[in-house]
Amino acid sequence: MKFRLYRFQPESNQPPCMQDVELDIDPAGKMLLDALLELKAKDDTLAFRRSCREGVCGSDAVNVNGRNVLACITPLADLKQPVEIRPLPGLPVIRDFVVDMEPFFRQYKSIKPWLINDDPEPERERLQSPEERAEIEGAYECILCGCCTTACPSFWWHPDRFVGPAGLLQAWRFIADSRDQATEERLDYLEDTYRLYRCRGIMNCVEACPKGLNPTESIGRIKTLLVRRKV
Amino acid sequence: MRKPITGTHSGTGWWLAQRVSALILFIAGTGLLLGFWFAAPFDFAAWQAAFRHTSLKLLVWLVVASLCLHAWIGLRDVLMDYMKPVALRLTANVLVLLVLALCMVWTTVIVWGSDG
Repeated sequence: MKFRLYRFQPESNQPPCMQDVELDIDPAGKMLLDALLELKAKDDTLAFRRSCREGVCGSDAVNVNGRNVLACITPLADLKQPVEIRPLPGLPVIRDFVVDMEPFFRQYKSIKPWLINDDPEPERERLQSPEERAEIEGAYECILCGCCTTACPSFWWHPDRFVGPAGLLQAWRFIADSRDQATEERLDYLEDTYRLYRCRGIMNCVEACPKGLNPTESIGRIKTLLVRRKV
Repeated sequence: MRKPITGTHSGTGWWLAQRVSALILFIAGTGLLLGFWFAAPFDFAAWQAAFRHTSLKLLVWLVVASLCLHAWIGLRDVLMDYMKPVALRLTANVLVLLVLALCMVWTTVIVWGSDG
């Protein structure tokens, strides 16, 4: 199979370049991560992140033929050759496919992704009814791989100010959680021209999410709550 | 004591205004177009007579006002995204506002000032 790899070795003082590589691999039943591991076996200077190899840890997100994917759950046979692999767009590149996720996690942290509840801790757990639990379906499953946020042009233009689809999905996850008591505070934080309203609903995030989640819908729900609060 | 960090509280109003103006543009604009379509052919006298009705004047003014508001919010968003230097963005914003304000004044003069 033919691959085109984005290469950047900071110590070489050379600008990034694309490297054409051929690999003798049968794509049947294999994932892109298998090819990356074989490419690394041939050239151990190739750098990328990976861990669980089953689409749960979210560490091997890369841009393949223009789309953000998780290498470990992307079937090799489905990819058009040459398979062009780049780091996630919109984040500083540390080396090859390894990006600095700090801007992504800074935005994630800004929405306070933890339960805020000032009531005394119960003896066992804070209970929810099945209906209340259903409210966070489609929001809690996010694995923070960054595929959605780095596919969003608004995040490319404002990584320092726009929370991004992953962060906003998580914001909704806690707003929708019946055990959380900080809805007003969360909405106050989000009601901002940059933090929330840079989202134009182009749905790149929905297309990119390897877990099939819908950040645009969650962002829409936050906007609905803000409008209800306003009018 | 926890000091809350809040947003500017300015996004929701603009977001709502953009949607409401789009809705007005769609409904009133389509109504106007269909109205003119079915009333055609218009001669100058018929056109003048039609514009003596306050309702038509109001409707045309509303459509242009919605268009200008919609354009302002959209262009402000585009400038916010693509024009990073603050001084340049402020200048561009003022220019856009001036042009749109001029359009509104011109529309008002055309619609309300002609029939005497």
